[in-house]
Amino acid sequence: MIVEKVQWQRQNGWQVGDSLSSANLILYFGSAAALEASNAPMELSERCPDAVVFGCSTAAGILDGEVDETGLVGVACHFNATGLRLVEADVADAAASADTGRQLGEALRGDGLAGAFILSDGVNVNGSAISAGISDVLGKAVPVSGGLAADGAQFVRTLVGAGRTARPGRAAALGFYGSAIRMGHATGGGWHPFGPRRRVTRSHGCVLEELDGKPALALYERYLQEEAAGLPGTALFFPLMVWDPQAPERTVVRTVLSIDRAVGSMTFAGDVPEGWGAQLMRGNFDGIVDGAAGAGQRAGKTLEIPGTCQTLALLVSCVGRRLLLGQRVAEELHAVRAAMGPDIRQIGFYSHGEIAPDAATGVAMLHNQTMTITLLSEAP
Amino acid sequence: MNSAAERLFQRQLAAASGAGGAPDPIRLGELVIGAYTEAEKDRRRTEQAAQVMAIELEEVNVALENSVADLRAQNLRFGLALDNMANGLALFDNHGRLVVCNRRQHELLELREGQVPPGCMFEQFLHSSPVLSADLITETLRLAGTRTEGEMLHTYLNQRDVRLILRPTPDGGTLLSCEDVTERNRALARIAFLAYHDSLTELPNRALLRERLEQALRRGPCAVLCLDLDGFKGINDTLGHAMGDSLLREVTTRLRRQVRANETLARVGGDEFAAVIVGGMAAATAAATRMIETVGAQFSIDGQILNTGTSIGIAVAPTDGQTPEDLLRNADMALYRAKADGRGCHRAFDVSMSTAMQTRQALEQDLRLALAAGQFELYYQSQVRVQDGRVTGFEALLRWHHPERGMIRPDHFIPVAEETGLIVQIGEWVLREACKEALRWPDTIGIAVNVSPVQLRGSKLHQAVADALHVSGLSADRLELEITETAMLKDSAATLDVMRRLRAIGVRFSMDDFGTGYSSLNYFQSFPFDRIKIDRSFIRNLETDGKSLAIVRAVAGLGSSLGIPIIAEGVETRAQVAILAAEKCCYAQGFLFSRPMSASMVLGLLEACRGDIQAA
Repeated sequence: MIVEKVQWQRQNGWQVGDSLSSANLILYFGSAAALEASNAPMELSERCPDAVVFGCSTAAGILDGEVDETGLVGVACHFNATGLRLVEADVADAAASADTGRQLGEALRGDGLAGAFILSDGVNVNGSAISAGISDVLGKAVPVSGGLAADGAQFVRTLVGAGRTARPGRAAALGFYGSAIRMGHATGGGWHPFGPRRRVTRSHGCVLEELDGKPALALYERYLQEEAAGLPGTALFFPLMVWDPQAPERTVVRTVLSIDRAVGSMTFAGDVPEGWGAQLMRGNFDGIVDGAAGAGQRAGKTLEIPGTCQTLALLVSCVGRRLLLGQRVAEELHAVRAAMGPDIRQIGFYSHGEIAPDAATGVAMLHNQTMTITLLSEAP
Repeated sequence: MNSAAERLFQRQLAAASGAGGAPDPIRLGELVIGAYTEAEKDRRRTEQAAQVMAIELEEVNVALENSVADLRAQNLRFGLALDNMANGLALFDNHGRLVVCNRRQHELLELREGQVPPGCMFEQFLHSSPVLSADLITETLRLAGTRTEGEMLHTYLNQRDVRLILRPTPDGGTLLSCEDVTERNRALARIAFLAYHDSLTELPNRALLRERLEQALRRGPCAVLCLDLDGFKGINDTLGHAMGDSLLREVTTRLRRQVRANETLARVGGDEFAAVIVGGMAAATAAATRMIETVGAQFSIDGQILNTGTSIGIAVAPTDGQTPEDLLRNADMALYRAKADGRGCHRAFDVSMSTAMQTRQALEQDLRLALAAGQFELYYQSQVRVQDGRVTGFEALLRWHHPERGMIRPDHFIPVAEETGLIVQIGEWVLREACKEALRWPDTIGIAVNVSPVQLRGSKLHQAVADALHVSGLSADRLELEITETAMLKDSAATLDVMRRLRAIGVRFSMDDFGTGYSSLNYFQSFPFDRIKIDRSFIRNLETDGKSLAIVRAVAGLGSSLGIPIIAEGVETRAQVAILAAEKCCYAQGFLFSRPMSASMVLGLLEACRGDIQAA
């Protein structure tokens, strides 16, 4: 497998390697403005008519340990012996997300499917439902990872690119086929729960209305104080850890996507079921970076490939981590790179939600506020 | 440079540097200050979060303390409720350990305080109670093991009846609840007992008597005795129902001793008893004789001496009946005969009683219809002045023209009329009819009407007489009511009151059948009779029997002394008239003067002799 960088800057335009034309997969990430200004879907499709062109909007792209907030980053990959198929479906709203996931799964299902990478609209979607939908069809034998497109911390409009176009309301998935492909996955958080344990007393689907009988939004406003004016974005500083009381050791983290001041509710990227336990989380610089480093270390151990083969690391990290780290955001990428080694090319983006197989069950799940790493390589 | 801060600064420098490579200080400054600001915000955010968390934790603490206080209060209430429950309750957890046992459970199982502490095992708990039998413990343990709800009714070793309920709880525990149902069982048993027994005497009632009689009939020869107490009503009315009840209980005690264990004594009515005697007529009459004797002996109840007696009717199976209904009915008829024969005796059923009873019942039936059907007629027999044979009045005599049986004699139907109370209606009719007829006679002719003791005791006599006089327009002093001594004997005070009220409106009274009853001269002190009627039995042999003459003379003398005229009944010969005249008997009545005649014949007679009837 061969991997080369692809970049676009407003001033300098496209910077691509010589082997772009032989690529069979091009991945790209950048702000919606950069996507549209560069006309990336069309441009890349024109330059590489035989390649699968796949990408999405983000708050910031990740390329080899650096963050690019203004331009567009990407990779052009050439797979020697791996089949690729890109499928897409509409995702109208959160309620339709499970169906969308199932549709993608059905479209990908076939002989030799070894793994999938999914990108979905990051605003009108139920990330845990879409993960569950695709897992329902493909099962845990086919690892699925990916993320929800982003637009900074505005949560207003995101784009998913598949082929020549990028648009909102779309989910797309790339299937890897054949026996040569090797994939590894890991996630890392670094957020810590704090304060009293609470109970979800009123919610439906992703919409949390009350914790312990009081409006959930009021709780966040109390903790954010003057930063409450920045909701929903500033809610990223305090993700919510939730768990099923029947299995309290299996916690998941949820990120806020939007708020409704009229009813005092908050919409999260995944389900927050009534009756579940909940606890606020907070992070600090060291914890977040350490979480990313841990993900890097674990990812490396999941992939057994001789060092001579080129490996691509797809990093999907959460906008909440970027918001917290601020200018120091590159530190987490540095930590991942340090953990995995400099030879592994890094490409990725800051998302509204990360999708990766659950460490215990192998079933694709929505993770929030994490650094999620998907390693791709081909056996020689 | 490999620390995070150094790397940051490197990036800031790179970001602040333009194409020429020289960093723009202003831009660099912005980036550096930006980093400081981010760090400061992060610090403040953390600090504020810690403060809010501390406040929240304090709030949680307070809420927790309140919850604990609430729980404590709730526990107290729960404990109170538990310890004041009527039922016993013990709860065991899913390991079989005691969680809670209320006071009532301790009481029911006779457990001492502290004997079964929390944590005590289920089996040990059961064995700790001295009132649970080994079988009950075994059964309870077995049922608990099935993890199903079960109920047992058991009698503890302390003779209390208890309803035990075992219930598995959702968390794998067991609830044992106990209810003392001893009193309820006793009440149910009592109700069942009372369904077949009389509550006052606790003797079998009619329903149970019937069952026992059926059993006895299946087993062999038996007889039925029907008894009632003589004069019981009087005792009840004069001494009160409490005394009456005590008497019944005493009578029961005496009667019980006269029946064997395999025989039955029952109470079937107010003062009515029945017995099923094993054996034939001999056994029955022997039992009846003993019963008459024992009940006839004096009673002493609460310092009061009481006397009563019993009359008994006997019916023997199979001769007198083969079903309980037949035997009871026939024994009852025999009882009726015993009472008619003077009470205090026993009579055995014979078929003629049945016939007599049927005849009587038919007569009663016909009598009820007779008045409405106009089957009665009044006949009149003249009463004359001895001195000159002049008619002074007529006695009204009732006749019944039965459509099938022809003329029925008064002595056949008057007793039935009196027993059934029909005499009151009939008597009212007689009064109205007699007064109406008398109005057609000359004013000097009076009308005498017999009044039954039943009429006299009733409340309607005064009104009936007043109505008859009013409707007819007859002057009250032309009406004479004939009252027998027997009639006056009962309820004499009330009777005298009625008589005085009638007297007050002008009605006259004669004492009928004088000499045949108790002949109490008190009556003459209590009431001013207008005439005394000497019974015919003293006139029949007047010419030949010195005693009759002596009695007539005495009565005439009594009347003369009291100023009450005498009238002799049953005068049939001139010789009798002569003697009566000699003895100063003023009036006479009898066949010598006239037989009883119809109203039309009276009119004819009066017309013919203009009241001056002489001896025929």
